[in-house]
Amino acid sequence: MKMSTLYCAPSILLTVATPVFAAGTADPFAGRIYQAVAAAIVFIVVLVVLKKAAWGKILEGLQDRENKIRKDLVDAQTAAKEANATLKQYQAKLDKAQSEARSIIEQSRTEAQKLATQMKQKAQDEATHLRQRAESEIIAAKEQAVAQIYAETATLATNIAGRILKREITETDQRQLVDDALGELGKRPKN
Amino acid sequence: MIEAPLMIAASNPVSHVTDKPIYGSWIISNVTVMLILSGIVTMLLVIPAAKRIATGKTGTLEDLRTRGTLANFVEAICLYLRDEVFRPILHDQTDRYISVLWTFFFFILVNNLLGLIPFLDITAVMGVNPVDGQPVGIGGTATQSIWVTGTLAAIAFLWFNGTAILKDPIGFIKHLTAGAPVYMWPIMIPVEIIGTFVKPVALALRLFANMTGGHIIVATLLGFVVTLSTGLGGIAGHGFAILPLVGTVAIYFLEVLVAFIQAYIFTFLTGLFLSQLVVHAHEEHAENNEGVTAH
Repeated sequence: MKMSTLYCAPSILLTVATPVFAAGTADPFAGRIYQAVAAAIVFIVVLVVLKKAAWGKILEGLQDRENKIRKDLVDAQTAAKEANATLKQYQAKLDKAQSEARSIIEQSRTEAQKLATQMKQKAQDEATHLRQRAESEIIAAKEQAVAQIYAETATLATNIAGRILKREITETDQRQLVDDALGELGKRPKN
Repeated sequence: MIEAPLMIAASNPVSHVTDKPIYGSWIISNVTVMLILSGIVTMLLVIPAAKRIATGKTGTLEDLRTRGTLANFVEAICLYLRDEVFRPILHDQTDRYISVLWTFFFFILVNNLLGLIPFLDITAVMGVNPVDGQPVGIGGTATQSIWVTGTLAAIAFLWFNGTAILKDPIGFIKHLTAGAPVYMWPIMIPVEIIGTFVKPVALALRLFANMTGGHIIVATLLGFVVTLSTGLGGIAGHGFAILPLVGTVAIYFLEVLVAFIQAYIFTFLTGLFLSQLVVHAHEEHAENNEGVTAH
């Protein structure tokens, strides 16, 4: 298409259109009461129809969503509170268990120490007892040995004395002498 | 033919935004047709979305899922307006009044957006709706008519004042004194009454002026495109014409934003005016009850 055609066509249209708009007024405030009546009727019809067919459903939908969100929030808050309470309970139980464990360990340690002390004491007692017993036996054995030595010595002395005196010492005399000697020996202080 | 709508748009920027009769009758004009079309589109937009936003009854999480892009778009707007815009000012009474506010928003938004589609220019070029033998087309933006915005503002005015009067008539009258001492009433009451009637006027003028102004700018910029390309001609003419064309596209996208913003502002201010009357009365009523209980 030539450029001249492009100019001509709009120019022709403009020429045609200009008188068209001359038919309408150039005053933007101009109008008719019919427009106001039409505006009122159309708006009221739209309002009534939408109120019956649309706004109720939309409002109900928005309220349902709002209620659901609010309920979910409340549930979440409740769940969070319950979780916190449960956590505190478990924490308390855990603290209690730890405390009990510490107590048990402490008690065990105390008992072990007590037992060790007892065992040590018992061992010491036994050792002391054994030593005392050994000492007693040693003393008894010593006394017995000393007594035997005295007896042998007395017998020997009486035999020697009998020979010296050329007198026959009977067995009864000899026994009497030994017993006397042992009796004196028993009266002597022990070293 | 691509430039044809541009020609028409640029022929007279102001007359482009004014209403035109359809086949000679002002009972059904361009604005009336666009209002009806907007009403139908609004219902076709919202009602199917509502079915998909509504919760199911199966008792599963799937019931709460909004299905589809359109439904999510509508739900996002509804949710934002309800939770972020109106709940802070209407408090626990938001759900009672939100239906009317949603209707204001979507109806005005659809009107604004449909006005950005050049039905008028396309149908005029097609020779539709001849008046005095000349085609004027069918289309335009309903919310660039002060009659339409005035009517919507009047409905809002009747609604928030009527609601307040029905809810607490004495509170409404007290509100006119603005809580001032008795000796100030001769000044305060007339000022409050004037303020009451200024509110809908401000609502109507703001929406009308924004929509009209934006369209006039677009039409004017398109006029520059035509003037430069036809006046200068050649490479220079077409080259310079690109600048206002780019500006037109930018302003057009700005107009899309303005369509949303103006629908939001109209709705927000309506809700705000309502809250000033209803929530104020409600709080006073609650305070009085507390006072009685305390005594």
